[in-house]
Amino acid sequence: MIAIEKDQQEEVLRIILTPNRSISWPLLVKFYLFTCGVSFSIAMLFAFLGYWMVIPFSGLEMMVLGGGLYVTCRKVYRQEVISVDNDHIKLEKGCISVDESWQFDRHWARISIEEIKNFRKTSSLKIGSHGNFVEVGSFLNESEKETLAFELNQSIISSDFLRRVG
Amino acid sequence: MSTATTHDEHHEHGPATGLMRWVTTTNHKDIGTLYLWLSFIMLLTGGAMAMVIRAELFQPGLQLVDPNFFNSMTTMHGLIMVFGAIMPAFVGLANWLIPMMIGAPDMALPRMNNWSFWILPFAFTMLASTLFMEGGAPAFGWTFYAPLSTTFAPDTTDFFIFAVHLMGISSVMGAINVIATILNMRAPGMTLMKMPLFVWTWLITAYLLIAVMPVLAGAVTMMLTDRHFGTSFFDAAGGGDPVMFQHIFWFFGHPEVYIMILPAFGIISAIIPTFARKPLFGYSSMVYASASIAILSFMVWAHHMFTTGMPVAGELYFMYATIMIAVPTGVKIFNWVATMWRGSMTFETPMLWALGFVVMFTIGGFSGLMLGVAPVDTQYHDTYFVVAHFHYVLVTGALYSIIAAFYYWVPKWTGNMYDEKLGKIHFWWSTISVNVLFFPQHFIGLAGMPRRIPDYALQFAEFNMISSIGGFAFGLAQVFFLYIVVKTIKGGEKATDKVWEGATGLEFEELPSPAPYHSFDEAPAVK
Repeated sequence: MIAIEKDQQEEVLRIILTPNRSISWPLLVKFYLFTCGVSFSIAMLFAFLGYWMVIPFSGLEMMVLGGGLYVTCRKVYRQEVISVDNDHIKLEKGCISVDESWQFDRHWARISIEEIKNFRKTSSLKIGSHGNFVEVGSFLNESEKETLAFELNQSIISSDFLRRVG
Repeated sequence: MSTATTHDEHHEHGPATGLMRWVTTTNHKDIGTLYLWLSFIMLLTGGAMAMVIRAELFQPGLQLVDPNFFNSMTTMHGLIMVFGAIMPAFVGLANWLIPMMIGAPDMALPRMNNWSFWILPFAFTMLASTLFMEGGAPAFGWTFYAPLSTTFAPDTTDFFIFAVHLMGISSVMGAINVIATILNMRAPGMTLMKMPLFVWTWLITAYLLIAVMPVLAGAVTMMLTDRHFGTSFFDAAGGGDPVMFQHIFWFFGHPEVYIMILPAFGIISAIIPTFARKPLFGYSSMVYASASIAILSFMVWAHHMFTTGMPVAGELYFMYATIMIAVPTGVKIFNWVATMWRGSMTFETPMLWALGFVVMFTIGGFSGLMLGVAPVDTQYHDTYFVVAHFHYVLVTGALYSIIAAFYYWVPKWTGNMYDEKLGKIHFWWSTISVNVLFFPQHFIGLAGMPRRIPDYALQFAEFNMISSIGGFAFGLAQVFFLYIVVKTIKGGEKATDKVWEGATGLEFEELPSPAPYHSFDEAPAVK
């Protein structure tokens, strides 16, 4: 998914890239809590009858389920932010906070689209300068990559790039 | 500032080579293949045990094995077929198909996926090793009722307990992976109500697994503490209740039955529309019926225990609740028939197996209805009628769907078409022999022959002989299936990308045959 924001005060254009999220975090939490409710209800029923040894296994299982869902959800909650100002293009990748970042001189920057020879004819979109290129939006599909390439081209070339949006 | 176009061929890398590829793999297709091969080996192992059982029952009197070994065979056959053949086969299919069907690059937790598979060979080795130990393998039936599995069990039962724990851990990890994958990794546009029914039924199955596996783990742990640590959970002499073991076991065991049949419903719902060349009739009603079956499966466990002396009110409740399951199951059968109605039908091998499933699973369903009627069950309980019933559900139901799935998706997996003539021979050979094997068991059950006995009264001789002949023929048919599998993997007519004229779904429409090692590095477009 591609979202474009502009900050008129700081004169920065931000392109925010996120992978597809097939379930939102709040809905996933609800699903998890419901599953915990079902599992612990069953365990408590047997514990009430004196067969308490189901409880530790329910607890252990719910911990692993929670961990698994959290780890997977974290993967789809990562994002890449491309910030364009008058002189620089900054690329930041991370999830909750910035894990990696790169900065390029805007006037020297170029975008490269590499076709990958496979059945589905996918491509890899890279941004960089002076031989140092970084892939952006690897999780986007082809049409989104085309949109991103267009937006980057237009926004970076144009001197009044902030007028393009909003 | 400019845009350049270059070529990069490094992304389409294949698998590593050698044995370590299979040990360390995290690829969903590799792990799916491992699961499917393990389940086939377990099918043949459990099948060999069934041959011992049928050979002993070929004639009345004790012929080949002593009674305790016979009971070990029935126990190990049941455990291996349920936990070693059917369940891992469905997990293998889930691994192969779910990421391709929802447009995901792999399973959500690939390392855990590897681990959940590699636990299993050790679990089954541990279980099978009891056959060679002093005291022999467990002989208390796959339901391991206390006190047979506690007070009167051989020392090898501890190995059985740890093996069950390992199988449970593997199943839970597999289920967590399936849930995390389906919830988090669907391609854009793949809403829940657009998911193929195989994915839906597996989501519900995984939920059932999550709900009931702690109960099984708790039950076997309480067995262990009763045996060695002085507790009396199931020992009446110490204030415990052996009947409660049955309640606990069947609270796990009945949903387990649906764990073994819901994915089958998903497979049949994929195959019938393809060969009827019509969309599935009543997609949403199929989803709701699957969910209803899953919910009801938690409420009917005691229909396995009508003869334990429960109050009449309890019997009535469990009887009505059990019969209620026929409604959503009937919806499914109706929808499959309605899908075929006025369809442009052809009868390739996968369709034959799917039709075999519909007809014979319905027979198993009807005998299940009979067993669900409490006063009638008092007569049928623990007879061969029950054996016939659950084999119609699990062999001509679950196993038939797995074989149908193999023929349907193997061109996509290997890029090779199977030999159609051999596939049809396999179907007719299996279908005739499986009915010769199990249908007479209804009659001897109704006539009163109990299950789990190595010897029987003379009046059951003819039907038992017929049943054994059917058993040997059915066993041989599955060895023939092994030949077909190997032949298909090694070569054959090349499959097209779509494989079947009427096939739909991302795996047929968005991927070549064979599917590449990495399917969806980026999300496909879902129509």
